Amino acid sequence: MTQRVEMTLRLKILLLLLVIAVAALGYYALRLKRQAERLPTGVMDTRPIAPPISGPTERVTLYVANDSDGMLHRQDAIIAVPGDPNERARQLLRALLSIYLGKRSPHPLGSGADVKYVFLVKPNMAIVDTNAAFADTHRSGILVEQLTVASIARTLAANFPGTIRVKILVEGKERETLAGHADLSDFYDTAAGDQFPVAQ
Amino acid sequence: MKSCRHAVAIVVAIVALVATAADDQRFSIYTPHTSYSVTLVDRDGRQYVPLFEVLAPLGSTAAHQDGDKWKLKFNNTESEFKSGKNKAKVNRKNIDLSAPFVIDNGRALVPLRSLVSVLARLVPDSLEQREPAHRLFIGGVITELKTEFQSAGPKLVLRFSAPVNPSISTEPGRLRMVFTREPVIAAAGTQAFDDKTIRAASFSEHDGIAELTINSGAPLLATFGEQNRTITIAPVPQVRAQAPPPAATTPPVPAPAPTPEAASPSAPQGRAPATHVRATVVIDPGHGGDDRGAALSGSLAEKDVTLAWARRLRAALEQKGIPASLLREGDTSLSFDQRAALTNAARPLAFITLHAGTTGAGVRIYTAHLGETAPRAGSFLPWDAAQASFLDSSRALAGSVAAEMTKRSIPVGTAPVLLRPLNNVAASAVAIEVMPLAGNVASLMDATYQQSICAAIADGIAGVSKPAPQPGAGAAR
Ligand SMILES: [Zn+2]
Repeated sequence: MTQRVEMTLRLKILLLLLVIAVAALGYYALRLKRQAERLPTGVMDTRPIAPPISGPTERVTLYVANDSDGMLHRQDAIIAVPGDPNERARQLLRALLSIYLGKRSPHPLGSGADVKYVFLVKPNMAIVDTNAAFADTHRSGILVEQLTVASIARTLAANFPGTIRVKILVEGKERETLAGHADLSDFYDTAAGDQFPVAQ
Repeated sequence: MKSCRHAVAIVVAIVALVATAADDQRFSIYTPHTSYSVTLVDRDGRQYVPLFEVLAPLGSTAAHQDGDKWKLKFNNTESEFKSGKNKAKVNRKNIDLSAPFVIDNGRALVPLRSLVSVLARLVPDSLEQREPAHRLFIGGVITELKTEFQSAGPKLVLRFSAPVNPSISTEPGRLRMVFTREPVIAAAGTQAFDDKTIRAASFSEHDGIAELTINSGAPLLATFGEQNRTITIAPVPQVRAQAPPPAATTPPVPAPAPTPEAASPSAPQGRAPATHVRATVVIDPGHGGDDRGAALSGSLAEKDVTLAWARRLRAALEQKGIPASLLREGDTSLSFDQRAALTNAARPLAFITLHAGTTGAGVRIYTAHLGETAPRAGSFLPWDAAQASFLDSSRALAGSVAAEMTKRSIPVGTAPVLLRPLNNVAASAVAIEVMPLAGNVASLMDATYQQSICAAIADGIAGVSKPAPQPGAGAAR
């Protein structure tokens, strides 16, 4: 009789320990899951958009917007050269955006801003499809918005000779303005006589 | 197809504007420096005034909402209002409002009947509210009207103590003169003249305007003189070949144009054309209504800043004798198409769209960035490239304004931009983006800062807006 009672007591203690272990493990698993959930976006925000360079590379010219003087500045960069020209154009713009998303950005963009696709349309057009973060987090103002548009258009035109008219879409759709000002319903003509100022 | 859509948009715009003009209750405020009007709001059968819009043109104004409290900084004073409460603390003193204070979508509304008692605590100048005309005179500013009938002619000479620029419309048997921005006052009532052509003149004040109506037995003509201090009303000469005499200071416009003022209830569409039209500078306060523009700070929306600057610029231009009008007088939503349509209908000397930003310092001046593929001056201009044949004069205007900034050591830059409605405007057109002083966003609402830059802009506009000779109409000058 007494032994059976002792057995159940030991069993109860064991059971209690087991419950505690399960709860602790469950909590640990939950924490891991939450951490994992937080991790990808965090990585996406801080990671430079330009891919690690492997394989053939190429020197390109970027027209980098600078808020402090309100001008574009020519700057060289090395990018990977994928075979597909559309993908090459996208990597070119991602190299530009990585400067804007970097720590000492001369023209900060909202985190997560990205170029989804670039379509080079013959004979002289380029369509740039950006993601929602690119436009939704963009600062509002004539100068800041126009700097972004002009820098994208001029960078494409500089590296894809023949590209003259550039249009920016957001998530595949036409937008009236980027953030209240720069007109996205129209093409940006990089061959127009009067161009956004470039620092000499 | 695209132009068809635009046509519909314009028709809708005009109908909408006429409709709002009829419904809106305008309250006009006149000061020695500027005049403006705000739209009254009806709450529980009582009339309310948006306090921020009233104060912004009068001085440095900042406000923020904290729950049901609305805290206001005006010049060096601090005030606090509470939603639903009749008591408010205005510049350290408790005052009783005639009805509860209201916060509506972030807009602070005070009862119209208490406006003067609130303003008296904030503004050092004298205040005179003329009710029920919805007109408030600050600092003793008044333009007196004296009428003088001369039976020889006959003619009616209107003498004003300060220059005026009323909108004038005619209809059979009547000439109607509406003063929206001038603090014109006169003895109310009707003066009858013993004449068959000019029969009577009656003056009235209502809904934030002053109005002079002249009853006549023949078509009348209004002629401006003495730098817009006198207006002579006389029957139209029987010989119809001659053009009406031009204004003393500005060129005549070849065809009558409707007034571009969205908020103006005067000169409704479809009336007989105005007998006297003067080319103006159309000022577009960027954004408005649902479109708040950039959030310049937690409490400061770009749409309010642009309106304050637009009023300041209008005053600066008028001081130089250049008539100017605003596309919106209050917190109105206007599409880009509406802005362009109203501007083009006014055939202005120049179009200025005002914006405020926070990048850098000073002033940025923009012209339309039009592709080379856009058609140049030609027989037919598509809507999207209406600006093409005016681009050279727009660049000259931008250059002239920039030069004035440089003269005053104000940082300035110019650039071509893709910005609507610049490309749709058939006139010299520039966008001006003002940046805060020394990075302090609140400076955008500082009266001194606004005035110094607006004076420079006005000088820049005056530098290029010398009247171009109008074919066939210039001989009279
Ligand atoms: Zn703006």
